Amino acid sequence: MNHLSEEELVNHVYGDGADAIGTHIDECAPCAQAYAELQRDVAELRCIEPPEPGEGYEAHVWNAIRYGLPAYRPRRPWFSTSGSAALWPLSWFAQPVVRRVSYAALCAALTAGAFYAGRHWDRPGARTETANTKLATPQPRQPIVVVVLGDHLDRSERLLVELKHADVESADSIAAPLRDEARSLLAANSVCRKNAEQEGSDPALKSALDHLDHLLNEMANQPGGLNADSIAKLRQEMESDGLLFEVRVLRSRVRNGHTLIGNRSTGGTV
Amino acid sequence: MGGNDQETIRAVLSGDKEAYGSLVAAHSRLLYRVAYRITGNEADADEVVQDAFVRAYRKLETFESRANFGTWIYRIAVRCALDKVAGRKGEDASRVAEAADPEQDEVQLADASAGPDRLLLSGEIAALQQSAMHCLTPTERTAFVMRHMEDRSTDEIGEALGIKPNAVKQAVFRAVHKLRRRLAPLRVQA
Repeated sequence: MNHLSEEELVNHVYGDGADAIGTHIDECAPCAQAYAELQRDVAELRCIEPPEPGEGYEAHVWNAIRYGLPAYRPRRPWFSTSGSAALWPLSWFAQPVVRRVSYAALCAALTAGAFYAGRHWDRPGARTETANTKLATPQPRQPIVVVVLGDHLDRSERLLVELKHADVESADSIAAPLRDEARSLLAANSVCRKNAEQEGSDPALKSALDHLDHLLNEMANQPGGLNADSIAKLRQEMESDGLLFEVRVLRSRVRNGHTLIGNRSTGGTV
Repeated sequence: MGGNDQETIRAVLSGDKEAYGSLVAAHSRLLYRVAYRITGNEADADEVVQDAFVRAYRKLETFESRANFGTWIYRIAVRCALDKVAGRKGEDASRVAEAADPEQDEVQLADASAGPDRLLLSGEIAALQQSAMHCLTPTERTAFVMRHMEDRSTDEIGEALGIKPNAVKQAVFRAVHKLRRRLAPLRVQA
């Protein structure tokens, strides 16, 4: 049997030893003797009794430190007015754990807010698409569409007028501007035609846009570029189709708001 | 007391510095006692008490409202006292060397009976113990004072000193071992 060490005995004297140590002491004479001697010695270790500090000691301590202590700056919570109750939230938020939790909650709220805003930031496109396919009443978007379509028809009319009055003898100087304008209008006209077909718009509009598309395509993609002969040919084609007249009529109807072509889809994505 | 302490702390944090005086009045004697036991003299004990209250005041915003102010300030005072003892370690070393003179240990009295001789022995033991305390390291001295004189638990001591319970037990054991060895010459077998 191993005897107990002095450290185990000391721990037992102060009540920090295991129960097995007490059992061992009861059964082992040498350890019991060592324990008894230790108990005697520990009992003789006196508690140091400090001298009485005397009356007024508390005041002495306070007076010694009070002038070196800066006063805490009173901070009142924004949601309270006055009184001791108003100080409670302040001290509550002054706690380190509460402060950390508050910061974490604030960061989480900001992150969630940014995520939510980000999701809705992309919504305008989605809403337009939804409106294009589902809304039955086009009134809210109609003014915008009319302006866009009217603008397209205005530009087309000006191009056709220029073509009609073009001086074929100076074709070289006007060929490039006409071609560039035709290319620009061709892209817009293509979108308008596509939307007009999807929406089932006014047949006159679809017909005019088809004719316009054909003419613009020839102007924009004439092999070798525009020249006097090609301009004359295009002018003849335009007049035979009555395209300028058609465009003027449509533009007038759009401007006066008397047409089905004011449908939001027609030119809505132009 | 605890509830009043919480209200006082709230008042201090809201700018009423003078309210802190009531906390000083309520706890300064308790702190003085433990500070004296650890440092061993009145001047250092008084300095430790003041230092503890100043430190506590500066950290008052970090004090958790659900904790006990008395326990908190007690730990701060123990730390201050430990720092004080550790700071004068060199000074104590020379004092211990003087006290270790073998001729001083030649006082030998019987310990088996009470009476005038026994009382004289007690006085000698107290004096020698006071001297022997200086041979302890600051941690051993503080742990021993808290365990033997203040009757604090191992966990409380560990929290105050910032060490683990096993380290506390070892510190207490080393302190007891050193003190027994220092006081052994006073005893002769009856």
